[in-house]
Amino acid sequence: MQTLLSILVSVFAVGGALCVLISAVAMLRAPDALTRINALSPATGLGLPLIVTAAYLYQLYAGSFDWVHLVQYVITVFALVVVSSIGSNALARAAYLSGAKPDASTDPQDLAR
Amino acid sequence: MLHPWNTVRYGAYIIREILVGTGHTARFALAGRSSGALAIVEYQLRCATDLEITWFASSITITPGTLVVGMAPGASGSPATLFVHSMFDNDRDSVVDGLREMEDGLLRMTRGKSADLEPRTGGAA
Amino acid sequence: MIIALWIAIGLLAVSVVVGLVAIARAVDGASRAVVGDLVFFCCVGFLALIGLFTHSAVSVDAALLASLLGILATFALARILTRGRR
Repeated sequence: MQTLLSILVSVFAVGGALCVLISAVAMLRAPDALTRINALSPATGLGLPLIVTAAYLYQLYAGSFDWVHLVQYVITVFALVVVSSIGSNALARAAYLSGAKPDASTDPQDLAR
Repeated sequence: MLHPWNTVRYGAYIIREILVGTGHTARFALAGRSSGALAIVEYQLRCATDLEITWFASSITITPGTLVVGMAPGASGSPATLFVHSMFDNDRDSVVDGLREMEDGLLRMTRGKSADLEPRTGGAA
Repeated sequence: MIIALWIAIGLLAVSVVVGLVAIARAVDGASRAVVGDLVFFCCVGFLALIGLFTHSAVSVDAALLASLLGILATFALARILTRGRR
C-alpha cells in the first residue's frame, strides 16, 4: 500500500508539472493573445489538479485518513477547474475588447463585425 | 434536478476531452504553429437557464483547444449565441459538432431524458 | 519519491522561466496578463509541493485559498485591460 501510494505521488506530481510546462511552452509559441489564454487550460484543468492530488495522496502516505482533508481536496480541485475557467472567459473578453487583434490566420472569424 | 448517472457520464466525458486536448496542446508546443488552426466560431445555444449557460461556458473553456470569447444575447425569438475560439480546428462544421455533443451531454445532465434536445424556437430565452 | 518531487519542482521552475520569457517577448497587455496567471498557478504548485517536504498542513489550506481567490487577480487584470469598462 505504501509503495503504491509513493509511486502514485511521484507519477502525479511529475505528470502535473509536465502539463504546466506544456502550457508554458505552448504560450511561448502561440501567435496571439486569445491562443495564449486558450493554452492556459491544460495547466489549470489537468496540471494543477494532478499536483494537488499528489499532495493529498502524500498526506495519506504520511499520516492517516481525515475527512477534513478529503473535503479540502475536493473543493480545491473543483475550484481550480471552475473558477479558473470563469477567469479565462473574463480575460478573453477583456483581451478582445481591449483591441488585441486575433492572428491573421484565424479563418472563420465570426466576431469580425 | 441533476440526474446522477448522466452527471457521472458528463464528468467522464469532460475528463476525456481534457486529456485529448492536452495531447493536442503538447503537439502544438512541440511542433509550433504548423499544427494549430485558429478560428472563432459563432454557436447558437440551446441551453436556456443561467445555470446551464454557466456550466457550458466553463466546460468549453476548461477543455484545452476551445475558449469562450464572448456571448451575445439573442434578439427576441432567436437564441443567445456564444463566440468560441478554437485552436486546433478551423473547420466550422466539426467545431460546431463537437460543441453540440458536449451540450447534448450537459442537457442530459440537467434535464434528464434526451427528448428535449431539439433547438428551441420562439421566445424561450 | 523525493527525487520525483524535486523533478516536479524543477519542471515548475522551468515553466516559470519560460513564462517570464513569454512576458518579455509579448507585445500586448492581454498576453502579459495571461502569462501572469500561469506564473501564479505555478506558485500554487510550488506551495503544494514544498509543503510536502516540511510536513506542514498549512500548504494545503494555502492551495485551497489560492485556487478560490486567484480569480480576483484575473478579474483585476481584465478590468485594467478594458480601462475600467465592463
